[in-house]
Amino acid sequence: MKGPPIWVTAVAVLVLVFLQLPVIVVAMASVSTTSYLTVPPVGFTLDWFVEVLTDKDYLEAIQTSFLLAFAATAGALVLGTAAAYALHHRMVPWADALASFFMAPLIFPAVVIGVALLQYYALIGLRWSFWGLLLAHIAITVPYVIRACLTSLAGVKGELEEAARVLGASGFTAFRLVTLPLLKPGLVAGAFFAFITSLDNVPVTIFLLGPRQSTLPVKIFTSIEHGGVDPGLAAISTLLILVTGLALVIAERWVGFSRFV
Amino acid sequence: MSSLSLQALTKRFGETPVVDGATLDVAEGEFVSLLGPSGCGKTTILRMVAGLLAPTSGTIMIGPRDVTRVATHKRRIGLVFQSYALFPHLTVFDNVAFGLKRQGVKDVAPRVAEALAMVQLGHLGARFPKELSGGQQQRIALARALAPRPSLLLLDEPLSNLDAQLRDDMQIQLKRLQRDLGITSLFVTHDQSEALSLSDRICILAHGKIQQYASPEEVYRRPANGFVARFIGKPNALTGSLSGDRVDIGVPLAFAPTVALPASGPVEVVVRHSDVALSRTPVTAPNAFAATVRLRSFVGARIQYVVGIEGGPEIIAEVDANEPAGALNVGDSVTAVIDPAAVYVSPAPAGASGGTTGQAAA
Amino acid sequence: MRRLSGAALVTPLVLVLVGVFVGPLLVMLPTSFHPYVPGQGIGTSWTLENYTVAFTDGYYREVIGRTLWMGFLVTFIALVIGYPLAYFMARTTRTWRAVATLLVMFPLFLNLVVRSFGWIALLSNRGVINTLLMDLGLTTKPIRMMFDMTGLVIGMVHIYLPFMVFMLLSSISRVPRDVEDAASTLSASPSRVFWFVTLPLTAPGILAGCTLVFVLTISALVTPRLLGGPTFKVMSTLIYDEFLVKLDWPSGTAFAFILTAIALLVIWGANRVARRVAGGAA
Repeated sequence: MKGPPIWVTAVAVLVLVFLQLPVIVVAMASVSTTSYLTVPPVGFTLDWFVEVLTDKDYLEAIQTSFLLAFAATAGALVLGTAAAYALHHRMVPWADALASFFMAPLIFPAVVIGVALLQYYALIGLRWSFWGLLLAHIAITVPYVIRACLTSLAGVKGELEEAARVLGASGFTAFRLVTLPLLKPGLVAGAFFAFITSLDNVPVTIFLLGPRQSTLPVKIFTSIEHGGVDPGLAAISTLLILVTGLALVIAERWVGFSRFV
Repeated sequence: MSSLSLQALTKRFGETPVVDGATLDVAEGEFVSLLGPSGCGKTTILRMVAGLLAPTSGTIMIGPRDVTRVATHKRRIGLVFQSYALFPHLTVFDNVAFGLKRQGVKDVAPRVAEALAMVQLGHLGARFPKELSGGQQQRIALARALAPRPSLLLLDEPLSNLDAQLRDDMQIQLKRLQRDLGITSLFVTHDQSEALSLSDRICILAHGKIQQYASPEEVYRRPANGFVARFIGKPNALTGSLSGDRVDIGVPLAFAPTVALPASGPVEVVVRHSDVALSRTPVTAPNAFAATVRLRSFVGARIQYVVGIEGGPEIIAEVDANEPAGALNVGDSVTAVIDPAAVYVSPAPAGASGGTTGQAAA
Repeated sequence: MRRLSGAALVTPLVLVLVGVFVGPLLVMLPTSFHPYVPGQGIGTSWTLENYTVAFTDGYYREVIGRTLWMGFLVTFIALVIGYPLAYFMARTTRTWRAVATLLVMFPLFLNLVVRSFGWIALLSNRGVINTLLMDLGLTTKPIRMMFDMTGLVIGMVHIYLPFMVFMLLSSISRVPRDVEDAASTLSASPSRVFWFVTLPLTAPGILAGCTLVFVLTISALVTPRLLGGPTFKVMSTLIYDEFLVKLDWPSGTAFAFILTAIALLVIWGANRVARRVAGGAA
């Protein structure tokens, strides 16, 4: 086995650095004592973290975001796993067409889904409601669950469930005792993707929020849009960086989920 | 055509030597097999000769040229892979033309046609590899390796992915082609019958070391050590202890020593199935033992018996179906006769010069 | 029985997707054929003008052209810098591959707004790069890198590069090493092995990665809005403004359908090419 040529390695390292660049800058800016954004930071303070974490608006946005992400993930997991199981075992006609349909929100311009829902929810009276937002988030997160599930199911031999049935387990028991434990890594990975996607979303969410509602990314987005680029924003962003990084490392250690990307 | 010479070739991965001081000469036009169980280092040697793997130490000479540090693409070799490794995005014609174009051959068409004709697949030039059967892919791989007229042909278990019938046909084709072209060839295999029937000389490897390098007849008739004896032919592998000029396996067995042995202690004893003769009538000979037939199985032209030697172990004997001994039945009392020259005794445990931990690594 | 339980398993999801994905799109379709009446909203008469104006009006044409040009640039750059990284990851040791995978995945999962924010901090007139350049005396005035194509493309490449890398990685990992080795035994130098064997064999992955990145880039909203500002518009930010600022829904919906049509057309075209290539060789 020969490794990659040296110049390829050099380019790879540079590109990896490029990928981390904005992350490093944001984290550094968040501890500056100045009231404007500056890198490298001047002095060191954690005041900005205290400030955003005691800000009622931010706390509400964080709460909404996490509630939405948890609920959407749970919904996508249940609906997505059920559908993926049926697709994998070809228990429905046109399984391939259905699979493409379920994956469509992944590639469909999110801003189009957003504006379409804006008009539609106004029409059916779901405007500014949490339920409307939740259903939309389930639709945009479910492709990740289905994809991870199908990848996992492809690795589970059909004979295993058959063996369980021969040994006297009913259909659902066989699924629960044999297939489900083997699907766990895929489900964890799918849930992780779904959660992150929901937590990340702006282009659909921003069209569906009421005047006094906000999610964390939408709040940061509108703050930047209105010109408020300050270390407080860097602090809340740094918190998101830390949470994401931690979740990533834990998920990778737990189920080695990078193979589901 | 060129000769090939390996001197003290060694490859270590970390601390573990995979190939340990292999020295080997292949004459011009000779067909040599590297034979051994998986993990013995045979493929590692082949990959080092191809330049796909850098040796830790030692030298590789192709003809008069030291190629130890020469890049693969400058070695002028042909390699037939176990997986065939045909270029899936190129037609058969372009696959075969690939090496010719790299060597700057202007008019490739006649050379490609010539190579395809050698394997009798001239009509398949426009096809893609995925449209061919396994046997056809194998022959295209051979034609592709031969088309640039390499100075050395390397074959890495090229027949192991074919079914039995096809494998026999390909063996004959390969041998004829090699003979006609007179190309120096190094052939890696774990299949002893392939090695015995194809090779001018066989190099038997275990634990990264060369155990014996000799003609097929020599390897078969005079195994250099217990490992070779056990590896070639179908062996009864027994254990015993030395007592004087005999070895005790429950019954005293006479033998002709081939390797240096200690005065006493545990030894490994190898007797090939085909070297055990059975007779209904008592025989006066060294190593004639009373025995009982316990099992009989029909294996084509030969009959295989499991016989229990009175006071000794169970051994397997294989005899020609046409012999009188071919008509024995289970329960028959017989005399089992073993030629002392066919008893290979070596010190336990491994006995082979493969080192003390070799057994586990195999 | 089997059919029945299959239907029971997929129906809930189908209902959700019909409810919040297909339904809204169908409802939106007629809107795009109504005129916009200022002060009143959606008119009642029927018209094609929302579509025709997109291709006749100079401003709208510029926005569409800019969007496609941005998509092309981002895709091209992501491919050129993503391929060496993916190749490195495919061919290095296990440990390095795992480290690199995490480093590529981390920005992928990091909030898009946060990443765009990072680029603002880097690229703005008083940002890290300009400060550094001025401190080093390389320039006296800040170089404008935001609210134009430069900043937008840098930010977008950063956002969509991970998708490209993972697509290419899975494709490069599937190239059998034997096939590459075979080429070198046939006198091909390492660079020729790459151009004649590795690259053609990864063509399907390149096509898939480029399609994905292009479609995601032309549909992106957050980064163009934050790095392009309110004036340097692409199609998605235009739709955003038509809806939330100008309240011209008919025009916004028409643009939404044009954007969707472009995205679907690109995907359809790529699939056709992929099928033709697969039909011939690999």
